[in-house]
Amino acid sequence: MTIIAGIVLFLSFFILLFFSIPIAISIIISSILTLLLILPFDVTIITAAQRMVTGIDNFTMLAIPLFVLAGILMNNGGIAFRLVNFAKVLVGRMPGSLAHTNIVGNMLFGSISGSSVAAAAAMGRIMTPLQQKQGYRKEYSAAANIASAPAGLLIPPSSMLIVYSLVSGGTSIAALFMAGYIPGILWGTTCMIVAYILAKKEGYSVSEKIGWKDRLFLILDAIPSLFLVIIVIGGIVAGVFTATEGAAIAVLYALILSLIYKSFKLKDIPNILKETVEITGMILLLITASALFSLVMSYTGLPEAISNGILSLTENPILLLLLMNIILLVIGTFMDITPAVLIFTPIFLPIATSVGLDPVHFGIVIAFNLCIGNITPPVGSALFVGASVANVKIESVIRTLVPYFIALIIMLLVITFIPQISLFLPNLFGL
Amino acid sequence: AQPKEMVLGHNQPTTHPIHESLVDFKELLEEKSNGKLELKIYANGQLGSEREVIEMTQTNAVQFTKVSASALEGFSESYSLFSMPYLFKSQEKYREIMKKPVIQEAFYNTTADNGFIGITYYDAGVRNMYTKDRIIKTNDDMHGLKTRVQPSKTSVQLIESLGGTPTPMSFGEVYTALQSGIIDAAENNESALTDNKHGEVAKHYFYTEHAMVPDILIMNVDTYNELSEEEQTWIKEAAEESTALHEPRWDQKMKESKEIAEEEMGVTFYEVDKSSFMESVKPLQESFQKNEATREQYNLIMEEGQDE
Amino acid sequence: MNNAKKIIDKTLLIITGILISVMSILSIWQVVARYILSTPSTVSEEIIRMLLIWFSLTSAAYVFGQQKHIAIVFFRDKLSIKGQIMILRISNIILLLIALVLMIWGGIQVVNLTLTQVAPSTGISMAFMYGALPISGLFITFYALYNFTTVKLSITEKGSDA
Ligand code: NA
Ligand code: NA
Repeated sequence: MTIIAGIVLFLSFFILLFFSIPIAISIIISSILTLLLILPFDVTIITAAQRMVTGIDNFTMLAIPLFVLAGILMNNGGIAFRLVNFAKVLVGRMPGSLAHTNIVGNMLFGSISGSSVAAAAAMGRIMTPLQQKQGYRKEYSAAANIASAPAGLLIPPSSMLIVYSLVSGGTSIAALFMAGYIPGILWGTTCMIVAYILAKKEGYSVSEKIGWKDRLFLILDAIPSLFLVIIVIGGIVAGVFTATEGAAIAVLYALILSLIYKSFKLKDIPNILKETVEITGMILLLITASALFSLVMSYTGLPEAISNGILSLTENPILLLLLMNIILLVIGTFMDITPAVLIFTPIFLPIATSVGLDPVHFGIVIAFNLCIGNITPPVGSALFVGASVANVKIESVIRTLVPYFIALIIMLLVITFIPQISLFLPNLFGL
Repeated sequence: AQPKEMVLGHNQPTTHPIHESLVDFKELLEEKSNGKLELKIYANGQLGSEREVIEMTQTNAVQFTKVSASALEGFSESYSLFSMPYLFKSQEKYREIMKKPVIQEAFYNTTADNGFIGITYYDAGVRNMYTKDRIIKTNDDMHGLKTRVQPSKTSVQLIESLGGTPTPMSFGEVYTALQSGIIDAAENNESALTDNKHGEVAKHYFYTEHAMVPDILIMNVDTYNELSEEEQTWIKEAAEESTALHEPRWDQKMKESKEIAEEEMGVTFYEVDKSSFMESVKPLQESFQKNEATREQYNLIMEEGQDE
Repeated sequence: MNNAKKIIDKTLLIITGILISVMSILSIWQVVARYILSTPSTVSEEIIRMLLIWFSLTSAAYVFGQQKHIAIVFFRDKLSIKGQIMILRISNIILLLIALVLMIWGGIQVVNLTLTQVAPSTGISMAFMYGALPISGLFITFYALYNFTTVKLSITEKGSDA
């Protein structure tokens, strides 16, 4: 039974994906087909309909639209621009300094907006003209922007980690957020090292020195924007408010800041709303479709069967982790982050915990893998957006991205096999 | 003939005493029916939350589920009576009353229109108060005490009637909420201290014994009605016997939890002046007595409780 | 049909806009009630959850209208214009079936099932929550039909861009 169910579920799913049916609809249909093996037609439809509603009946899930909204408000409200200036003060004196500014900008902005696509678009738009003026190769600047865009997904707040928390059966969001800091910063650092080496090769110069008065001004000017992260993450980690309430506070704060900067106008509201609804409508439908998918998997005993299958290949923890990394990297090449987290967490988490991995650490491992997928062809949203704002062809930017891929995969292995990198901060805060 | 295969879902881990008792039910049922009735158990909330699985029981996507009586309030208000403070005089009385057919009939069939009926009850412990700092001796000590309650109207009323300030939140948030001081107190049976590690942050446990909320085994009504009388009897008997086996198992679990909490976590256990609490909840009790939806069951339980 | 689409797009944006604003305000209110007023709100979370379901499903419907639900178009893009049109047609028929059978028919069944069931904190009928499903199903039905009839146009336009 389990085997037949597994074949029906995955085969129909991949056929539908192949025919470009939206992923959420593919998930729903393949789940319904599988459920029909066990239940009568009307019971199947009613069960699926129920799960489509109860799958989003969760207070924590509200954090996702709210963080997206906060990010869009900040992008609109002159906050991205201030963060770039701040980054310039930090890393403006290194070879390829504008690329480093872009990378740090992605870490700061992506951290707040929680979206690699928003970060790549915002930073790319600001940085590309500047870099061209300095005579950087288009591919060089686009690659740095694309490669570093997912860093902000690991640095909290992060919708990806909220989704993982929900689907892994309530792993603490505060712990996951703290766990994301060091790997996220390492991601950015890895990109800076590659950008540095490439800049040396290309012979790029450093930016002009900024006077200390200007420095002070730029730092002070960025403080209110940076403060958002401190309030929101501090509040969540200290348990003052939940992730959802923190997200609502982020919206309020971004709104107030935009009003103070006079960059928020009433006529912007429809566009802000449209952008928020487009991103979250897509994510939330995927989440609720995946709730149905995982019900079907549990009902047919699939996760257990798959883990047993993988465990029968090897029980060596190192090999198992390598195997899971390879599978996740392959999945990441063609699947976007949210659906991949939703579908593969229930399958891989039991294997990971059975070899003694902490669910928080494993969440970061999954996240890191899929973040790499976010910038690889054929399907990578940060890759697409980063290439399009820099006006370069995907084929040509990929060549410059290869050293980043290699460096990030090495970093992935480090993060996989040294759990302390992820768990140090959560342990420090007693989470 | 082909064996009839049925499915039971619940949301406790397989190490929980209730799971073991449900396994008893399964084994007894398969034994009595000589394999004609088969039961497959999904533990750990694999099929969803309590409400989701109740709804699956309504539509016959699953045939059985074990849920807390408080999760049934939304389907039949009569079950809200179990959220009435001091409904039972003692745990012994509670167990005795819950096993009486007249009481069972009064509750179990009220949800037949919703597509399911009750089959049996399982003891889910006595609910007591526990705090991070505050010492509770009488109900005066409850004043302004921010106490976690289940997100439901009756739980809110319960804590208000005891004198505290109810703070609804999901069970999973209680540990960090106690730690950070969002709440001062929570209420549950002893196993919350150990199984959910609340004893690491809450060091004072008070035997207020303010409520006993049973777990109920429910079953899809159509499936039940389609069974032969003999098959129905097997189910009833297996359920009844598993309920009896569950009681000592539960007591053992509470005893172990208390020992671990006391010795390894440093939790202190206190007796309180129960009469002051019983006095303060009287207005709430009256409202349950007057409420159309709970009056009949209330009176029945009071009658059954008088014969000491 | 074009005018109808514009009106429906706008209606959905207004609904979702109101919902997300109310949810934000209620979430902040929860924090204020807990810390400043010291009387934690006992009903706001349940109200937010119900609104979130409406928000999610109406947002999802809107995204179908914009054809922005994420799909893997790698293989489709390799096909001829004719092939692409056919795939898009099939895709919209599938979407129509999901909207009619799962969301509208299934949704109405669930609403009927839960009419007498009430939410624990607010006492609101659970049918209100499940009602989001058939209503969003109606919007998606419209979009599936609209996308089906306009597919040729949009793809040839896209083709001439390249
Ligand atoms: Na982030
Ligand atoms: Na990819």
